Amino acid sequence: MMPRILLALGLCAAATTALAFDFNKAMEKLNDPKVQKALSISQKMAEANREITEQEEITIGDGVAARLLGAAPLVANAELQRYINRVGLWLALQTERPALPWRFGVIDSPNVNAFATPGGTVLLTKGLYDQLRSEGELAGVLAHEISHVLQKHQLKAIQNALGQEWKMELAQAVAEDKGTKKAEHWSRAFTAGTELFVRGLDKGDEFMADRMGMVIAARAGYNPFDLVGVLQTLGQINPSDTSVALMFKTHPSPARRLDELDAQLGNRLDGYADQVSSTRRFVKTNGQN
Amino acid sequence: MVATLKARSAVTLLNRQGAWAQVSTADGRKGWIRLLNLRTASGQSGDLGLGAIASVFKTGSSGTTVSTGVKGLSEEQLENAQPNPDEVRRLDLYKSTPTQAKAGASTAGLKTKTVAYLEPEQPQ
Repeated sequence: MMPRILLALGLCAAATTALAFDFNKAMEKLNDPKVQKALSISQKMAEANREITEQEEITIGDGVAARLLGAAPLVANAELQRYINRVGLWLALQTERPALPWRFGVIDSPNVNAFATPGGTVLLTKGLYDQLRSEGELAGVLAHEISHVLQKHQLKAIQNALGQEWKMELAQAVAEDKGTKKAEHWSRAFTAGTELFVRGLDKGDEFMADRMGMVIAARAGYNPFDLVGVLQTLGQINPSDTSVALMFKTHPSPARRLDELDAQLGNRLDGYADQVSSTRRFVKTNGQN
Repeated sequence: MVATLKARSAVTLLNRQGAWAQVSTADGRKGWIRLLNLRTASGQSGDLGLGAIASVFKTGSSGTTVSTGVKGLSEEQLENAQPNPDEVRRLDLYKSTPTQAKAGASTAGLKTKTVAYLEPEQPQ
């Protein structure tokens, strides 16, 4: 009996060795970039239809912010920058996306405008900041921009501009592990995001951000009607003034926005109108400007 | 009620209080109107909103600012902008922590409220 058992074991060992050999060979083949190169049709379909991940949203936002800051850098006032980050994050904490990497900044431009990039970067110009009378008005502006991020208004517009192939081509570039090709694809998204600041969002997105912004300001303890005050200030600026040219091109007129708020709001936020407008820290920060 | 104002009457804005604005009329009468019924004007008549029910007012011209030929964030500058990653890193430098934001809000006397969005469909 003994020899037969030994023989059987020997066969078994040989088979295992052969299997292991084939497996390693197969793995080698799978890891070969040439084999990995092409995504299957089903992979492509899945890529085209998938949602942009939060990490990708943040990457796109960073790239767009870098372009924006290339056009106008941050105002060299650390106190002011820290101040608006505290106000901005306090507002963002009252929303459904409190954990995004929220960052706020005042950029060195006399133009009157504010921008949000996907993933939670909000930049307003010194020209707009200087028009604000109170922290409540600052909160109104920041909460409007925060609303665009919450609703992914910019991200959706960028995706529309790029088309569904963009995600497929990005996945392809990642699979092929080609650095330059990947960079090129991200760059296309950053360009689309920058163009959005020149073209503007849908009017409906702006009206929605006004309404949501007032609600977020009210949640954070501010008088939500301070945003109305900002819109009235903007309405006083001559539309032919170059400092408002881009903002007026990309947004409905302040009067239209006030009409829309008036029609949609009713008296639903009146109960919060006696909340905070003025704060000592706003006055203190501006004293250092 | 002090007076009934016709749509597009010109008034002077004296004060803002909550959801209300104190205004005075050309003949010197003072009163309060809802802030959302007030539209400001830049001196261009075409700029006034045309709300069907909303009365449209103008404030005094004191707030009108004019600056021409400013160099700023124009269309061309945005389109030709070179990325500045160093400034993005500076953004990170000034970022607030939730603890700092909460402490600042507390000092400023801000108290949170539960307020539902006004949207018919809830945001995601």
